[in-house]
Amino acid sequence: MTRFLRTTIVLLASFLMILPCGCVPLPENNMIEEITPIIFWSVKGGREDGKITISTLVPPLSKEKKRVLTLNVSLLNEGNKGFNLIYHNELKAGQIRLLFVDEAYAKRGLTSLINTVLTDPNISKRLFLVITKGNFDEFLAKHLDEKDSIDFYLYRMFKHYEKKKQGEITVVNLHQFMKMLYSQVSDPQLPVFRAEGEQLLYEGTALFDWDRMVAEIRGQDDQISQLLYRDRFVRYLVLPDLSVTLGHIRAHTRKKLTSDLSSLSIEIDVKGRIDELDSLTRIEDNFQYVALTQKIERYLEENVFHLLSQMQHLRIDPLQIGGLTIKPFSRPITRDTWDRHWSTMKINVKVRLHLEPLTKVK
Amino acid sequence: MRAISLFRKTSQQESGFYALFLTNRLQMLHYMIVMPTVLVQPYMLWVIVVVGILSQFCLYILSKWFASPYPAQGCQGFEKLFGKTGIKILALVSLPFLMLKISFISVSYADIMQHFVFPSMDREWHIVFPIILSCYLALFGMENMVRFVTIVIIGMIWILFLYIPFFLLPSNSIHDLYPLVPIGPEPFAWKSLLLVFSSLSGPEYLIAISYWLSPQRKMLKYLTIANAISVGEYLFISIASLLFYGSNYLPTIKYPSVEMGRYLQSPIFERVDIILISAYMFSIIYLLALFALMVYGASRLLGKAKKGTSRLGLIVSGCAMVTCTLSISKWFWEPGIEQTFWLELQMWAGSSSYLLLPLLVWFAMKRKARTTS
Repeated sequence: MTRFLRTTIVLLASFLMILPCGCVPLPENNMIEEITPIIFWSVKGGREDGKITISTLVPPLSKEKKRVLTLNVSLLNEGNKGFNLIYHNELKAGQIRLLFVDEAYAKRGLTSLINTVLTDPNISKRLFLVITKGNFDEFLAKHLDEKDSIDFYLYRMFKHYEKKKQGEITVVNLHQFMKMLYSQVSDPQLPVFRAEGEQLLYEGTALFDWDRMVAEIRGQDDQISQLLYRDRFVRYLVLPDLSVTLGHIRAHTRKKLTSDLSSLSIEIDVKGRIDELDSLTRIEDNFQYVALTQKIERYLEENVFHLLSQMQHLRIDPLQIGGLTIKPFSRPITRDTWDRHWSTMKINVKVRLHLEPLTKVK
Repeated sequence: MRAISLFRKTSQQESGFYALFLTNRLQMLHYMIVMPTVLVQPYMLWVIVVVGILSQFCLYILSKWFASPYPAQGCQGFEKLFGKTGIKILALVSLPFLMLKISFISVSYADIMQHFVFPSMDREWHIVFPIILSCYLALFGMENMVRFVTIVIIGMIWILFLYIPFFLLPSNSIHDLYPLVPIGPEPFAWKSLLLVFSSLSGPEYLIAISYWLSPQRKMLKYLTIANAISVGEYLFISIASLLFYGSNYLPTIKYPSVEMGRYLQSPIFERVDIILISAYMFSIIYLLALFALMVYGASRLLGKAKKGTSRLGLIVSGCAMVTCTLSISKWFWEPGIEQTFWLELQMWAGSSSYLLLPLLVWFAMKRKARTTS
């Protein structure tokens, strides 16, 4: 009897405790058959009324006919809500992996967009950010086939190149972008893709001034900047001007700032092999080999210098060189001071090549 | 204290490791809630070390208590030291401290839970369920509770290994850890010193359960190891988050240690942070159970303690905890001004109790020694 009484009291106490909490503990319905976890958003600006155009592709990953959903909204989440009203399933952003931003929008500043994405705890900080050119919606419209899951393949592509930092394309996720954005003296960068018909082509890297896109580097410059920055490995470095392709490039870069911030010296050790040579050029003896190496060294030095002076001219620092100014026992310099020094800084570039020739050199 | 079901003690075993684990868990209770948001500047890493040394001083005094003959006598030991009225006053004073700690921890944890795991759920659920669970745990009695800390340690220690990848990211640079001395324009935040000290507080509650820890002379060794481990853990997590975010981005993040878990990816399970938060619940529930037993013990001391303990009594204490916590959560936990108020209150309460309680016991022992000799 006492046991029964005790049990009743315990149960009663628990119910009394549960009562003030309301009756529906979990108002969200996440049954997988009834929701549509989208993979990307594409955001475009530049309308006269100041609104943004947000679009996505549904349904993801299933073998069904696809649809592009597009809305003109003033807030990102307004679009998120609007999609639910025009599509029979509820769209969930928890699995979102890619955010495509139109170039014109990026040139006006990304902060408001990024903040919306950043504050949502459902959205992973591994969200890849991509700048697009051309008509991205048209590109999507060509991939509505049942067997086509272009959204997933695009995600897999970024994932593939992110994994080991292969240096084929620039891959930047939300966290890296934010860290670069917040670092005292440096600027972020993002990959740029161009939508052309049913293709999405990698074009290069967009350089930012704070949160506004200001420039774009392509092809060879893009590869060189990857060697200089974080991806110290590049699969192919194609130098058409010299009719040479270098392969499996590993670079080790030493950057040194003088203490008065008047000059920067960059030493790059490049290891790799000559993968391709124009048929007219031959390496038959050591002289020719050394001559070729020196030619490539000079050429690379020129290009690195050109690239850096372009950045100096724009007063941006996507290679995080400003980070070197932070010393253990001195006050970090401000952005203005850095900009002033950076734009007039003398740059010395030294490239050292250690190449393996394709054939045996006598 | 009589041999009664909840507060019974049956064996006299070596229990230095229990004290070690308990100290460590009590000190690591706050890491997810407040750390490392306060330690946003790299030079603050020194603060952890300095405060760790300060905390070692408190533990040294605490070990004096463990070395004395009083803890082995349980309640009688306290009676000899403070007198019957003294105990009642102590119990009365300790109750608000305990309640504050309980409420602060459970509401903060509920906040984390709501923010990351169930954003659409009412926060009150995340308060009520852990407390019900901890009451269930507390029903096993104090002796079992003290032993259970081994399971808690095993359930949580692997969390540290999750932070190792953050030291190996290619985007890290040593410059994120500079400057090492405070040179910046902002004044030195003495408040964060206090906050770290209050985070390291908690071992003073070992005084209340010293009876079950089979005190011995070697206690200082175990307490020192525990303190060193805690300081190491705080340093480890703070350095990881500084490297990951950089000192400019870090202040904008609310729960850096959880967000870092969110960034991890496992091929099987994507939301590592949810597992992290759930594992963190081990220590939350365990310590809530410990505090529930303490609340019950203290309220028994206030009333007529001659009756045996009953489950009902403990459940009533649990209900009191829930009522207190829920009312704080419902009416006094607006983000912004009130939340900061509770953080500061807990900061002051934790630091003062950690500093004063061992001193109080020490002085009482000195006085007693003088009067008897």
